[in-house]
Amino acid sequence: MKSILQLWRLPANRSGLSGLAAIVPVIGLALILPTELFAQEVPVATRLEMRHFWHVFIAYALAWLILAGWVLSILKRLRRVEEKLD
Amino acid sequence: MSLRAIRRGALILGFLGIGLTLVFHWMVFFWVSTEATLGISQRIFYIHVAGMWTGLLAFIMVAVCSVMYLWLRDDRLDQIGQAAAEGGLVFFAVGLTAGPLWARLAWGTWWTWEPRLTLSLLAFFIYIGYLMVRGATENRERGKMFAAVIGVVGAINIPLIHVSVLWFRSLHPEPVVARQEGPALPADMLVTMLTAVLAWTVLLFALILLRYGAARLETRAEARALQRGATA
Repeated sequence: MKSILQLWRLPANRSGLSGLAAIVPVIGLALILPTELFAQEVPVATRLEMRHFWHVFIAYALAWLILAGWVLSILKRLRRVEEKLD
Repeated sequence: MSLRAIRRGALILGFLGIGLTLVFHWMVFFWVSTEATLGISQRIFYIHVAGMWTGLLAFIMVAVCSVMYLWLRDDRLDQIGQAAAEGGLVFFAVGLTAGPLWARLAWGTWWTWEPRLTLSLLAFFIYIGYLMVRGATENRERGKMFAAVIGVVGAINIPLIHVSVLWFRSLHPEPVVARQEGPALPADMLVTMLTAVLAWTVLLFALILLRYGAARLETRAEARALQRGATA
């Protein structure tokens, strides 16, 4: 497979465009057109499942963050008091 | 109870709580069956219920300590109450954040002003007030007394949260565990939920002990500073 740099060095074709320059309009078109035209349709069930997965992940991650925050605040307080007592 | 005993108790309960929490996480992600209608999002239920239950238990502790403090005026009761209020807020915050994440998938909305949700949010703000009022007065003893009054009055809200689904029209389902006919949950879900509740209850007590220990040390440091000031 040719690298991007090699692609730039390809000789200009009959229309005078190099290899990569010929691809640019195609990429531009792909960006403008809706993705649904190209992408394979993701089943609705899978999409919903992924959404459920993210909600579960965020719920558990937040739970641990909140608990860890309290534990750290207590430990910080303990260290400060112990330093004061020393 | 000596500071060493408090620290040892917190350590033992802490390890037990973390161990049980790891067990309940394993049960949630690898053992319990997936609910047929709600799919994997139902797994949020275990931390939602455990968080709310633990939070409410801590708020009951605040109420008991507040009554005792108003009666006996013992600073240690106020310190336990303060530690319990912090713990209650932390676990309640877990329940209150997990709830909307589940509600968005189950009900189609993040939040709605239905009775149980509204009363739960009210409880959250009451205990924020309980912690804030201490610093709002110049006289520290008066601040503690005001906090204790809030702790007692706020407790009225706790049974209301429980019965709100029975008294009012609510999006929350009626009780599925604490009901006369027995739990309506399948056995594996019930065991997982009870393990989660037990794990976080143990963890709550461990952290309350640790927080109480810190408060006791602060009192000791203040007394020592006062003593130094008096001798200087």
